[in-house]
Amino acid sequence: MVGTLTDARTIRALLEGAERESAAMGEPEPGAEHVLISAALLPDGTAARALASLGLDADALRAAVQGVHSDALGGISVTVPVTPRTRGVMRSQDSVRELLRATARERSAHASKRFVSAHVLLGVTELEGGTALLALERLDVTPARLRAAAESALPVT
Amino acid sequence: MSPLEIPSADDPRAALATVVALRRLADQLERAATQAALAQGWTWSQVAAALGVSKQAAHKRLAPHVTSTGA
Repeated sequence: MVGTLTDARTIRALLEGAERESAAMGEPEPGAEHVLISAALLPDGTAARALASLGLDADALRAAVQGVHSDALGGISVTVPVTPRTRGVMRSQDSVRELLRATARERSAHASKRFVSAHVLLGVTELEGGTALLALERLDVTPARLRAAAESALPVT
Repeated sequence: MSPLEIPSADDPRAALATVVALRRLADQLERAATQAALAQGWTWSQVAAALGVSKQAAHKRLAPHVTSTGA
């Protein structure tokens, strides 16, 4: 997935954004759902455009992720202080590694010159389950709808 | 607190989503409670004992997530 220096910077921004999102939700490590939200905020704008065509933005995704957990617990929640940034090497859940692998496959499949945020949305459609997909389902977005929107938003190569 | 209905294993997708949510809740509560304990003067030994883990394990898992560090 890392083809150029620009790609490396984009990936770093993606993962740092995911860390911020998980910290804001009081979780120590980002999951694929946080990477999804982070993609929506990347400056290349392709993921944001794809999501906007589905009537969504980062805030909608955040609310949906919280909603997935809240629904599963019958409304029980706990208020926690915002966790400080984790020290040391960036850690993440297995779901993040899985999403990054799927994103790299999608990027290769589309023979794109550079890595853009819409590739992350395509990667999400390959996941087999988990909070990211449940959040999208909660927003009435099927993997097929997400794929179509993301492919429309890809830059023309 | 409303009673929690655990989805049956006949609905594994819902049941596993509940597992994920419960783990997340447990982690959040653990960090919030540790933060409060340290602020009230608990030592890491005492926090670890309450959690049923070694002091080393408690510190390794929780120290990065608390803003105050006890003795």
